[in-house]
Amino acid sequence: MTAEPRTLDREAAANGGAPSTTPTPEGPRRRRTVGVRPLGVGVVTLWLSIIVLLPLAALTVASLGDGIGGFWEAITAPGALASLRITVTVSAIVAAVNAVMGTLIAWVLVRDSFPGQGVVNALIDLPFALPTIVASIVLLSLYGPGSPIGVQLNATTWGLVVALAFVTLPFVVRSVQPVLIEADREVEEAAASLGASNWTTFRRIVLPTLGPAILSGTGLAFARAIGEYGSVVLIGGNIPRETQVASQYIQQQIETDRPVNAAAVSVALLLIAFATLLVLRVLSSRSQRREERAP
Amino acid sequence: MRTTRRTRLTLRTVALGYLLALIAVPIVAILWRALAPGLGAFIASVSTPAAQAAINLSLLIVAIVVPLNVAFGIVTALALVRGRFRGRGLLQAVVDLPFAVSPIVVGVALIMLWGADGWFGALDRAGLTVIFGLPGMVIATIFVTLPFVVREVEPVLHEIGTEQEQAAATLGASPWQTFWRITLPAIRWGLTYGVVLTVARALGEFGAVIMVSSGFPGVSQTLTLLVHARYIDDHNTYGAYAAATVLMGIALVVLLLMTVLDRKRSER
Repeated sequence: MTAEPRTLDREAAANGGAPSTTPTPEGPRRRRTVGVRPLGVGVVTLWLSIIVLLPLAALTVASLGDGIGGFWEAITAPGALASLRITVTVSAIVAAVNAVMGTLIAWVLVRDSFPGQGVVNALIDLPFALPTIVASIVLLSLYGPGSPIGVQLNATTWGLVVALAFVTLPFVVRSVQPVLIEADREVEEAAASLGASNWTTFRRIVLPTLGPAILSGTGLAFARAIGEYGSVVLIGGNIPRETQVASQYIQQQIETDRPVNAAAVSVALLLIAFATLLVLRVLSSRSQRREERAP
Repeated sequence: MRTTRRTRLTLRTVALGYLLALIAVPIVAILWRALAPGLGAFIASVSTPAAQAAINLSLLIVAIVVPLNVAFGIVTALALVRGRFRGRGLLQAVVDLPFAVSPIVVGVALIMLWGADGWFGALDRAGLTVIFGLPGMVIATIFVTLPFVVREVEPVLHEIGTEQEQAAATLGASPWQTFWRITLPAIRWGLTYGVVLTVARALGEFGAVIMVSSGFPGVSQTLTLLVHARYIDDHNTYGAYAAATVLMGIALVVLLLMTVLDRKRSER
C-alpha cells in the first residue's frame, strides 16, 4: 500500500459528513471533474503553436525565401550535399552497430547473470542523462589529443561514429530488453530439443520475436544520430566535406549569414527525420496487425 | 537457447568490452584528468566568476522553464486525455515533435521566428531582445523539454480515470479543490519524473541554446556553453574537463532520482 489510497480514504472520510442529503443552495450540482473546457483547449493550442508550430512554420517559409529553385540550390550545394551524405552514412553505420551491439547487450543483461550486472544495467541510461557536450568531452578525454592510451580519433570519421554510438546506445538495448524478458523460452527449448542448432534457433525463433523491437530501436537511434550536434561538435573536427555533419553545416551557414541555406538544409534534415519515424510507425502497426491475426 | 558456458562468456565479454570502451573507461579518464591536479585546482576551476555566472544562468533558466512546463504540461495532458475535440490527434503529434527535431534546427527555427529579420522581428526592433538574450535561451529550452511533463503525466491520468474526481465533485468539492486534493496527489510521481527529466535536459541542452545565445562569458553563457567555450576558444582543456565533471555529477544525481522514482511509480 502506498500513501495514495490512504489519502483518498481520508478525503472520503473528511467529506463523508456531507452526503447528497444536504443539497447545496444552487440545487443539485453537476458532476464536475478536472476536465478541459474550451478555454483549456485554446490555451494548449496557443502554447503549442507559439513554442513549436510557429518556429517550424517560419523555418519552412524561410527555406523557400528564394523560391523552390533557391531551396534546391541550397541543399544541392557541394558543401550541403557532402554534409548530408556524411550525416546519413555515419548515422546508418551507427544504427547498424547499435542493432547488433544493442541486441547483444540486452541479451547479456537478460539471459546472463554475473556480479555487477545491476551497475552495468544502470550504466546504459547514462548517455541519455549526460548532456551531449559532456559526452563529447568525456570521449575526448580518452580518445582525444594527449590520449592516455594513445588512440587519437579527434577530427576523424571514427570520432563521429564513436560519439554517435555513445549518445544512441540506450535506444536498442532499452527496446529489446523488455521483449526478451517476456519472450517464451519454452519455444526455444522445444526447437533445441528437436535438434535445432543455436544459430538456427536464434535465426528462426529469437530474431523474429525481437525483430520489431530491434527495428524500432535502430530507427530511433538513426533519427537521433542525424540531428546530433553537441556530442560531435568537439570530437568531429568540423572539417568541410570530411567530418562536417549537417547540423554543423547549418550552424556555419547561420554564422556566415546565409539564413536561406541554413533553413533549407534544416528542412531537409527534418524531412529525413520525419520520413524515418513515419516508416517506423507504418512497420510497427503492420507487425502489430500481424500479431493480432495470429492465433 | 541452450548456450554453452563458452558462448555465454564470449557474449558477455563482447558486451562488457563494448561498454567499457564506449562509456566506462572514458568516464574514468575524464574523472582522472579533472581530479588528478588535486581537489583545490578542481574547485578553483569551477568557481571562477565566469563559471559561477554560468551556473547561475543555467539555474535561472531551469527556474523559469520548470514552472511553465509543469503548468502547461498538466493542462496539455488533461486536454489530450479528457478532451473530446477535433484535432486532438494533431495535438498529440505536435507534442512529440520536439523529440524529432535536431537541436540546431530548433535554434534556426527560433531565429526565423523571433530574430530581428523574423516574423516577430518587430519585438526585437522595439527593444525586446529575444534571440541573443535570455528569452531566446528560455524559449529554446522550453521547446526541447516540452514533451517530458506531458508524456509522463498522460499515462497516469489515463490510469486513474475520473471516478474519484466525480465522487469529490458530488460531495461538493469545487473543481479547484478536486484538482489540488485528488488529481494532483494522484499524478505526483509521474509529474515529478517529468520534472526531473525536464531539469536534466534544461541543464544539459547545448545545440539549441548555443544558436540563440550571444555566448559572452559571465553574461550569456550557460554551463554547457562554458564547457564548449573553454575547450574551443580559451584552449583551457582542464577547465572544460572540470566543468564537464560538474555536469556529469548532476547527471548521476538525475539518474539516481530516476531509479528511485521508477520504483515509487511501480509501487502503485
